[in-house]
Amino acid sequence: MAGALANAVDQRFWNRATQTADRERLDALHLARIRHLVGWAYDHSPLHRRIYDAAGVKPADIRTWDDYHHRLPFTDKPDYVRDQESSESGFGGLALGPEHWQQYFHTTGTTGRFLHEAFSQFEMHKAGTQLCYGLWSQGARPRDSIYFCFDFGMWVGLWTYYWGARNLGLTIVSGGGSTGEQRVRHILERRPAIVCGTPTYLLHLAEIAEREGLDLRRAGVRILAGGGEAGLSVPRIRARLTEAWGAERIHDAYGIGEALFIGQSCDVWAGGVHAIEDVCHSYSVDPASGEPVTEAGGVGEHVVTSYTHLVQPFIKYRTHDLVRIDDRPDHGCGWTWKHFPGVVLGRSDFMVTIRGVNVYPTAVENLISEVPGLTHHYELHLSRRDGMDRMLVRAEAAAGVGALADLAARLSAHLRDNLGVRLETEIVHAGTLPRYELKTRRIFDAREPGARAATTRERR
Amino acid sequence: MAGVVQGTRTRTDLGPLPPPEPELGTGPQLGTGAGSGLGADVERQRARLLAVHAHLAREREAALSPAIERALETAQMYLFLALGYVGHTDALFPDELQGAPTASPSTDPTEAEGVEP
Repeated sequence: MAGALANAVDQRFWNRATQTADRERLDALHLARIRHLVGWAYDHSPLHRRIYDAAGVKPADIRTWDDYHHRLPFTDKPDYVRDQESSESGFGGLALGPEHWQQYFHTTGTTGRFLHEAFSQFEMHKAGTQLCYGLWSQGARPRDSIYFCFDFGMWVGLWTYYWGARNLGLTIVSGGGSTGEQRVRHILERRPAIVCGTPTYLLHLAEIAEREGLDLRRAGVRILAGGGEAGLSVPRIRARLTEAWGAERIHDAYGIGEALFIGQSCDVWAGGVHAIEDVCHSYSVDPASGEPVTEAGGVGEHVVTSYTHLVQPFIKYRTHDLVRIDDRPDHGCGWTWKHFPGVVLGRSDFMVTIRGVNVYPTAVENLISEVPGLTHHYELHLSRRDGMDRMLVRAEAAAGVGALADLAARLSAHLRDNLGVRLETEIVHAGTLPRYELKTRRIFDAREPGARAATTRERR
Repeated sequence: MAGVVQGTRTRTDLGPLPPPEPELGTGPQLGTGAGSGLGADVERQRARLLAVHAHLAREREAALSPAIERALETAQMYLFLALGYVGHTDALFPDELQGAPTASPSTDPTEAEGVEP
């Protein structure tokens, strides 16, 4: 680190060589890694060998991008869940046995089933590096301190932030086992440069501070960092956090449990995050056909190949996150890595079509935050009646706001004006909706499984 | 994986160090890929890192205690992060560099039908 710190040429980037490489060089590296990884998985993971054999594909067949896109089969969560349920180990897609494992995790279970995950020690180190690109870009440097607003559990996301802090050389201050009020006081006492939490929880701490008459701006926090929810890329929530905390920077990280935090915001806010192309390959496909999305600005399902997770390889893995990918971003940060404006726009398995209009939950979330008199707390309830999708937007009024019917009408009009369809709205009193420390549950889908968008391709 | 399991390879005899590996670029464990394409300075650093990795591997073979062996194993993990930063694609994790075959039979391009030489 001392060499790089002493040499001014590398100060802006965590790893300039790849972060600024042109698209053609990056794609060549991706293809080499993918080919290597496919061979590794075929040789060591019975699940992958079965999938590739069933498709009549050998690793040596995968030589070009066209081979990758059209010959190599997708993998999906049900493949791993079925494998973990039928294997003695209880893990799906294993390529390395328990003698290589350092830590066990599971996914958050937001889609109903936990996926068990095992990581080797090297993988945890590598997972930690994924956070360094973004945090470095935001100005975090060795010997800065970071405060973690949560208790560590089975969800890998928090742990990778911890390993990221270790890899970057940050001083770690744990807020585990503390109440919200205690955390506010810790932050005011310890004055960390960075505070890490979900956007909902960071806003919750601001509410607590206000209630207790404490001024979080006096803590001198420079960077608020987190992920797990859309909030850190929602302009109004970013503004609210900046105001409440007096922070200079908001750092967003996007990830999936299977490939970890593979998206990071840079120092030039452009409404989204970059793919961390040192650790994964990203592209998007039409959810129904599986064909790559090629048109500029086209929305597709995010498909990931992870170079970090080797105990359980995830290759051409369907995330079901709907994204836009700009593969040649030019917003002034200098990164050449793909950019996801708006980060996750919705889910291919939570897709809602109302009177012929695709409604993305993230778009609704952005619009809620633009209505004065509402807090950032809300829920989206999806249902189906008479063959038609419906969405109820339940939002929470700010403290002291009493005319809930008027507020509901204003929200409804704002949504209709911007989305082109009318959604049902309901406003509840301040403090009614639950606060979560970890990933906040905001979308409740009451539709029968068969009535949802059928984009999860079940393999026979 | 070449039998590299954490904590099981400590050398118990105190004989001389194994002979050094061949010069950089001539041994299969030192990487046989065509290079990262990220520039000459990056490629030179990649070559130096591979040499360090090979040195660490030899030292690990000669470790006098589990403590030293484990410390060197951890050092190799950190070193391998640096290899990732310079576009190393011949291996995806440290143990792949230590005695593993450079290409498994399944990745032999000649195995695929219709592949041009």
